[in-house]
Amino acid sequence: MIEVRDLVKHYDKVRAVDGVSFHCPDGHITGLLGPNGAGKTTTLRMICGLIRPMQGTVIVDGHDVGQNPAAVRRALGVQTDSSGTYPRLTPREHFTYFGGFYGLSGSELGARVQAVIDMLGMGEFADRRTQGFSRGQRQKVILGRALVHDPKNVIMDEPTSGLDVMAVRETRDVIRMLRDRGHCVLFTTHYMDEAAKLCDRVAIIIRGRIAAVGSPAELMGKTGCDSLEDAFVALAGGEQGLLVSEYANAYGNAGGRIDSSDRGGNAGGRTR
Amino acid sequence: MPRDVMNIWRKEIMDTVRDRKGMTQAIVIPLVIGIFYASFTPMLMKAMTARREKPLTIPARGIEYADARLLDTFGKYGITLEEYEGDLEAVIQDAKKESGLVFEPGFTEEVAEERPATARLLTNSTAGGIFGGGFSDTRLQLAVSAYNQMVVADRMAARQVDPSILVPVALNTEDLATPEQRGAFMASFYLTILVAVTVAQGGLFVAIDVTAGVKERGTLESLLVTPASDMSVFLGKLGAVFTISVIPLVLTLTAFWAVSNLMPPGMAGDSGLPGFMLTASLITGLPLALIVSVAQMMISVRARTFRDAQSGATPLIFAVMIPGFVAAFSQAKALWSCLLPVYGPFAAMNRMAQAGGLQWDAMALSVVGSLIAAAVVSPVAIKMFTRETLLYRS
Repeated sequence: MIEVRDLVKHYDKVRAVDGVSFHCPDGHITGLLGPNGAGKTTTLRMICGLIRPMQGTVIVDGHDVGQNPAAVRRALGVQTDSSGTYPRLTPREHFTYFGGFYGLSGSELGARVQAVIDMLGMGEFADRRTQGFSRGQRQKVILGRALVHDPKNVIMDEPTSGLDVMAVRETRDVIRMLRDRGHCVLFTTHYMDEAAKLCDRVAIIIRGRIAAVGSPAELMGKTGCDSLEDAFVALAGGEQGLLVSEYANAYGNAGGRIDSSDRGGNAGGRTR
Repeated sequence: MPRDVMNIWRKEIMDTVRDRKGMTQAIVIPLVIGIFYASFTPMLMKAMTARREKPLTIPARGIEYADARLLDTFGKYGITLEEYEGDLEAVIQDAKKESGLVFEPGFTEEVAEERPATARLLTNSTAGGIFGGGFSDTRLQLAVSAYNQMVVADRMAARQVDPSILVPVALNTEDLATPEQRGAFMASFYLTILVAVTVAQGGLFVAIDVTAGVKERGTLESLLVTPASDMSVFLGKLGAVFTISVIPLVLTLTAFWAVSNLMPPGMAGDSGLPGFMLTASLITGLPLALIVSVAQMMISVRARTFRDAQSGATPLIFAVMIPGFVAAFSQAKALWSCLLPVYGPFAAMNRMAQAGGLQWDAMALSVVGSLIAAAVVSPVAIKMFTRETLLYRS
């Protein structure tokens, strides 16, 4: 389980993350939604211990990231937002390398690597160097190296971005499978329909602050919208609010506070 | 932590070994450089010697006016004069001939009557490449000098004067250099340059690849989200850079030593690298390679792209090579200078070459100097390799 409490991170005058709180239970898929520059990636990086928060904390399976970042990272499997792989290494070598950081070795590591290859359907290209791989194949490598140690908690930063239809479906199937096996899954996405289909819970982040948290149905009900996309726009203060949000993120966050709480906030009514 | 360090080191080495471009830079180029430097000096010397000893035919005009004894002396120096029918000045000016001799009528009579006899030596210093007119001139001057001494000796003997009065001081040169010193002398010149070039460039490609390269390819973050500590990431990558930079150093020195020692006698001349210099160069060069590896990573890690890192690291190449060149071209290094970072190892190599044997104090000082420098720089480097700095401060 991942619990985020009142995270704050400022870069000079830009309040990238400003008091973010939410939690992701085991056996659930939690989506972190927000416009570009809303603070999603910064939040994920603080959860992983890549960035030290100025305030607040993250607890992963009982480990505080500020006090024991290595234990938190051991409890996490993270698929980063970049699609970079080591071009001269095969997927199997990628997984072996990353598995080594989690105490796996020998036959145990070999078995886990093979399990991931089978799970992601990578048998045909598991022993080919990743140079020249399609984006979908690379995405599988990145996902596989996040899962090689069978982490209880999985974080994915825009896992379906730029993938074709088949690859998107495969990725969504893996996310559902992880949820069904009792893993805690936290992922970010731009695609509202994807969030609506996949997520058990959604946290909407606008200008570094949580605007609402709840199931897609709850958010639609609270805003009176019939789609998550409309609910998202409404919670962001309407389409004008989204534009202001993007502008503020690009040129410095000086906007007013949007009330947030784990109960979900109501920041506006239906906009269209 | 050691396990994570080894894991990162092993992966970076495997990644580099599979990179043809990186391996060419790390292995093939240093090997070629080592072999080239080792074979260049003996081959140049051999070519110069051969040119000096090769029979020389010089076109001449008015050979019939020349003194027969002068022609005999020329013959003893391997010089044959050949009557030239055409325009001698023009053919030399056009660099088609390197030199020519002109004797005017009355030359033999002037010598016989003890009046100054003059022959004109025509040369073109640009003809015949670096072994051209200058060599003809030198050999001719030697022959004429020998002839002059012979004629003067005859004239003094005719006047019953001892010719030795013309030599009030005789300077007998005795070279006290040991064979080891002579062997190391030329090698030491090339050695410091070789070590400087190899250390400055050997691991550069890898240093950039494991820092700016991974940022550019978007693979850095995936490593940073693992439990590996900042220190493990730094040490694993540094280990790989250092290992790859040591390979060309060892290869270059070994190639230099092998080629300069395995050449047939007479070809190697005095430029063969004695075995002790190979040992000394490695002992002093390894800590230097470590400092340079750290510096290369510190510069590269601040760059976002491979190209930016290459631009940023260029001054570092000069920062290593210039002290190497200064040490190669200067003499008599004080012992304390071996303690100086970067310059010290080169100074130590030079001192040992001049001494003709290992100098443990010089080697120890250079190693200590390098390790002190590494100890001073490392905390700064480690700070640059914290996760937040790696992600945002570039």
